Amino acid sequence: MEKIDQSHIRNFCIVAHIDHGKSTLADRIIEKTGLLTSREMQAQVLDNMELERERGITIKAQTVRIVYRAKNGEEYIFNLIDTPGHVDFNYEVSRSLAACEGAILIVDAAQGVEAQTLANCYLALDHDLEILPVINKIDLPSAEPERVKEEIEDVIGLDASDAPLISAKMGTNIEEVLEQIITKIPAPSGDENSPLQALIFDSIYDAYKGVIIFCRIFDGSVKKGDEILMMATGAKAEVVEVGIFGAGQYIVSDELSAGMVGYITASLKDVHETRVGDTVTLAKNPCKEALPGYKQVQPMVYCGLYPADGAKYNDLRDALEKLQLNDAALQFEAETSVALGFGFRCGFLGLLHLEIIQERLEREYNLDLVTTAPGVVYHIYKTNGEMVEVTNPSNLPDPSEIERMEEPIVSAEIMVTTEFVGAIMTLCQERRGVYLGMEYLEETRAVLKYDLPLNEIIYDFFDALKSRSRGYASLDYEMKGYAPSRLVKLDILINKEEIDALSFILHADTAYERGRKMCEKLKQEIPRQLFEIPIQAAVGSKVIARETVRAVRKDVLAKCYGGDISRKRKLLEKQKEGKKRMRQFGNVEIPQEAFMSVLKLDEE
Amino acid sequence: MKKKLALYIHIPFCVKKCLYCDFLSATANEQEKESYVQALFYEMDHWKDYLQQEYQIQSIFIGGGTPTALPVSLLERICQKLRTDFLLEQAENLEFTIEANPGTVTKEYVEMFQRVGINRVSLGLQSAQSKELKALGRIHTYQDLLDSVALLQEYGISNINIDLMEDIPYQTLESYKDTLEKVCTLPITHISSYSLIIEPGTPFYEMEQKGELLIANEDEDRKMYELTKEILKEHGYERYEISNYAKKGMECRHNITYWDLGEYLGLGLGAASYLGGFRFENERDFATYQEIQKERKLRSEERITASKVPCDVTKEYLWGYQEIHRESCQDEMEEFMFLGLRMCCGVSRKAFYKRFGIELQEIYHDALNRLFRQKLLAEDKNHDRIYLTDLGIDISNTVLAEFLL
Repeated sequence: MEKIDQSHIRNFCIVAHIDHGKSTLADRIIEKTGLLTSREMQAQVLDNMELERERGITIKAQTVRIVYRAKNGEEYIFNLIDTPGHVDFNYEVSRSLAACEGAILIVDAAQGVEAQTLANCYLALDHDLEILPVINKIDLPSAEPERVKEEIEDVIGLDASDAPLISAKMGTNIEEVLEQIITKIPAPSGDENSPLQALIFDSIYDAYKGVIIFCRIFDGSVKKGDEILMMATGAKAEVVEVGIFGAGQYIVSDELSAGMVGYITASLKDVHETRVGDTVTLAKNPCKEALPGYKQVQPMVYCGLYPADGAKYNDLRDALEKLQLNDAALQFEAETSVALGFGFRCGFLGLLHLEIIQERLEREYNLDLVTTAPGVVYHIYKTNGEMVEVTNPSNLPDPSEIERMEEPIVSAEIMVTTEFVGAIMTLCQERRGVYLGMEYLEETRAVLKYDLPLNEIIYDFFDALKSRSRGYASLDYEMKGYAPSRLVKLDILINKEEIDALSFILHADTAYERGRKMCEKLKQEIPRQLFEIPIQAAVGSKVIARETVRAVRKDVLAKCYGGDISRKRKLLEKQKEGKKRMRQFGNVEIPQEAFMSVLKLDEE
Repeated sequence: MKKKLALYIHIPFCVKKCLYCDFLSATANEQEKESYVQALFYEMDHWKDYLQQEYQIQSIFIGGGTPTALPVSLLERICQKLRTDFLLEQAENLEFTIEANPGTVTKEYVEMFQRVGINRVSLGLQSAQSKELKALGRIHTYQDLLDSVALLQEYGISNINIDLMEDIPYQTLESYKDTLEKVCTLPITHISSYSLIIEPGTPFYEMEQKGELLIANEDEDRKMYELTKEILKEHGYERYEISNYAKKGMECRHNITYWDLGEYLGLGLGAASYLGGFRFENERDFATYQEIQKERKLRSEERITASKVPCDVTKEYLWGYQEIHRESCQDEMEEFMFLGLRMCCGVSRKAFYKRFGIELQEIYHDALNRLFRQKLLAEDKNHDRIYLTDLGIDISNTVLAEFLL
């Protein structure tokens, strides 16, 4: 393959608030460009592509290399690097941005600048990216492009005077965006003759190729047969193949050199050796130092995952192992619960990450799961001077051994229209937020800044935020650190027996309220049985809330019309089916749904 | 010797749909009624030769809807055709019931009942309180009921059932007690009392969802239920099934057939049958049901002109039915238990062995042990009959579900 001059490469990403049209614009850009340069078209590549196609390999990320023939008659290579779109994956986003020279900032012509617009834009500016603002959805009747331009200038401080006014949906003015990518986003400027220095911005596990490293080459070059070194993990491996990203396909090339974005496969068995943010260099001729910004991502949210059917424990372990091949942020270790049997304590980047994994386990691996309440990592300082990290409430040391407890705090920015400021401030106060300040973006909108305990926002904060602002508020947060807190462990006793899977750690002031809600919810979920069942919430030995599931007294079939037995049978079968989904605790039967229901206390 | 059969005829019409009713029934015009009865006739024609050959009818139950929503003449034609088409038990041994709404029982109907041999009438009273009747959307008053009973007695029809309902909106323990006491001193033989069940798709369901339905709380419901047992017992009514009470010897034989796993054929829209080891149901769509009967009529004519005996009886007679299910031995065991245990006399170990050739104990060892231990089941001193205890009756769904294998 012909080597492309760096001056004809542009590496960029698209940043936007959710729903402002990121993927639609990406689709349009791909449509309006080609996958190959005209020279490559004639050359060897097609065969390789066929092969890839036969093997049915597809690329996970939307990262794609495309070819644009500009108005000046020259061909340019565009590497469009996808960024995950959620605050849980902030670190991955930052590494993707680090692989680019520029970013297209999409702003909705009707909605204007939103919280994530700001957050993503600042993140891009932090990485010294050139920002190319684009105003999308100009076809909407409510579009106000001029107002939005002003807003971009006032709020973000970017020059938006030439911002293309586009409709990605209708395909309006896409060329202008493509031309501005060439004129406004700088070309890469690495040194091809320096030692290899490449940034891993993603890595996936493929059943055929093994680990595939997605990387941006800053300096030097890499080709098949080279021995590479991952500078942070220390892993070494021989390169099997290098190549670039076609749309949905890997296109093998001879070499990746400075300025290029592509992939490397090597004899690596899982993604834990090729962590996002790490620097790839050559083992024989390493670069002097690694690229800045690497950190090992740490799970922020933990919960227990248990198979609904105890016999599926091994299936669950296999499934988690497979998912972990592809997801360096997912952690798990075996644990046992008196209530739920054998399962795993799993760590996630955030609640969305947790939900994604849970859904994949259920859908792709056909597992029925029981999840315990998600919690965060607490730092427990013991009287003997030792500090322990606690993710499972059952592992909390005895209160007499605890000197103090600390919990993780995040800095949150909430953008909201001014009419809802009061409601959102109340919400943040309820969630133990510490008010830091408020900035007006314009007359009608403001950004509220709060420090919030992470454990207050992992349950249902998003939902509460949306419902109290009629959907207008948006949230962005990042980890700030640990702070001492008055924490207690809340236990739930059913028929006087503690159910470990329902225990959790929370702030002392919220214990009563949450305990009461949990008891109420459990009362609804636990079917009445032949005897009365007390449900109690306790902190230590002190019961702080109580409900009672009354004994069943009457449960009789309705009238049997004209010998319609099948209807009766169905009713009884349903009853029997319900019984099967119960777990037995002493004399009490508790349905699996009860464990899940307490995770959604505030939805009503 | 011919086999015994119970015959059910469904009349899917009513004067006005009640607010809680989710059964196959609707208001209809004269023409719709005419054409429905015609279809019913076709269906009888379809079964005529087979039933004559194999079965003797022990009981007939004309139910609905409100059978008396049909004009006297149409109803009479149905009853006459039953007499000519099928082999019925002797008049004194035949239990021939019709359901009637107290607001529809006139002299003309009762005279007709007498002419065609209807000897039992089931009156859907539900309540003796006008406020409650109104809340249910019933068309009649308590006075209508009194008039109906008097009229029936006048014509010598003294085997009368009255349906009552618990948990009616606005019903209180006092009002229910009043209803019970009024009803059980009437010259009747049988009382059924069911709790109102709110079924999806009914106006009551909608109202309940909106929180507009005022229904007795659980304690009151419970007391009503206890009260039924108590008061009816005082007045000589024996409970013989979870919701049914009768004067001695006046139990409804037709319903007992269902619980005893006896054979029955249901004629008419959506009617269910248990015959020849099969369970099956009729089409539930009004127009389609009629189409199918026409087709059946043609098929049976062809059969008769060719004087052919159908080579596959099952296939021929079950043509056009829905949900056809050949009962497995397991199905029958389950049904033997969950239907039989609805009756206060319960099920007999001997009868089980006789029917299935295996001891009840062998099949239901674990369930029986558990339920005896929990005092939900009991057995008689001969260790033959097993029946629900009072506690078991109270939570019968839970107990009966244990007998699904």
